[in-house]
Amino acid sequence: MQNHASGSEALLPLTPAVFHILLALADGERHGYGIMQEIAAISEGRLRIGPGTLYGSIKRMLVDGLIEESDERPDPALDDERRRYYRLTSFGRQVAEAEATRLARLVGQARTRRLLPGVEALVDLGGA
Amino acid sequence: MRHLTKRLLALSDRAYRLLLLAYPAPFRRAYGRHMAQVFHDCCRETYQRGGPRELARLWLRTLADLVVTAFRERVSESDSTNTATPIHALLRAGEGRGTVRRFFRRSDCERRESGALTRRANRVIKLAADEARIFQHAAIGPEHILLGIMRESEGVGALVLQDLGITLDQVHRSVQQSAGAGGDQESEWPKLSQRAAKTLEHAAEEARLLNHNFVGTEHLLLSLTYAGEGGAAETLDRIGVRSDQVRGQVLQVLASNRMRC
Repeated sequence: MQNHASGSEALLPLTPAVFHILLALADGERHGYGIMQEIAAISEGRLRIGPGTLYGSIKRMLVDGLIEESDERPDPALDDERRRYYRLTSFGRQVAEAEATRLARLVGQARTRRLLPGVEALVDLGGA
Repeated sequence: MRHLTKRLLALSDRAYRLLLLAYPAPFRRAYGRHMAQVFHDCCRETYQRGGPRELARLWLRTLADLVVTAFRERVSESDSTNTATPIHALLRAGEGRGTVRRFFRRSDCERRESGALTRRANRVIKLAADEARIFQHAAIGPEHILLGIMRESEGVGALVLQDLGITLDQVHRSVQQSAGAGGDQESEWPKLSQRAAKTLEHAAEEARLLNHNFVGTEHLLLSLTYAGEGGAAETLDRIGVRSDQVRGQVLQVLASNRMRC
């Protein structure tokens, strides 16, 4: 599996939906609705993805090996319907890191070109 | 009032389920239930927060999402018909290619009648090549085909493995244990091993026995349950899954759904 690293750059840049899903899964597994809620939290409500975008992205991310299905179980906080949970693979984590690095470099470039005046703007960008 | 809310949400659920027909059937089979569930959760939460007004907004957003993504899924569904190139590349590079080439030539000739690999099965081979490359194995073996079936994620083969609770990580570990990380030279298109060629031949045989005129992911999976040269019974064994379990599940799914994948 060690050779995955060289492959992680090939998928960049990620679509906003894919990168947000990776972010949402970074601290543990979630089901579809959980991912949506987490994306709303991460983006402070700025990015809203519909079920079609969510599962279309999940499908492609499964094929690319970025995420994998964990198991199907009910979420006690919602109801007793069984939900399918997803989690990051180690390759998915590498790709998320590579994308974050790419974005950080880009932000650095913006700063040297005086397009990013203060820290407030950076915080603002973080949610976009 | 509570009663009215309930009815409104139930109506909303039903309408969305109907609209899911806009997506291609395999996508719907794999994710339709989950999409309906997620939409239901969104509706409930949105209604509690903002009443009918916010619910109407959610519907508008969801409709826009549906139109765009249903179109995208339909395009990607028809796009993926064109996966023959990597296989030809495989065959060009391949050892044991005599057998495989015969297999493919035959399926080319008889494309209308029998033996043609389905789109999904083609994709499985492409993903198997990818797995062999990742493991730095010089040739694609049956175990990589097993990984390919899992990663393809929508065909009957993948559904059966999911139903049995097998995860990609488990299979990765099992392959790693048996074959190691392989220091073989990396090539863009790993060769198809003699054993993998056997898997394909057995898969064609399985299809013939079932009276199917195509070779799909289910037939690939069936042929992997053998302990012989073209099988991956050992890999399955190490995960704690018995071959006859896999076989039984495939046949059951085929019998109950008659799905073509």
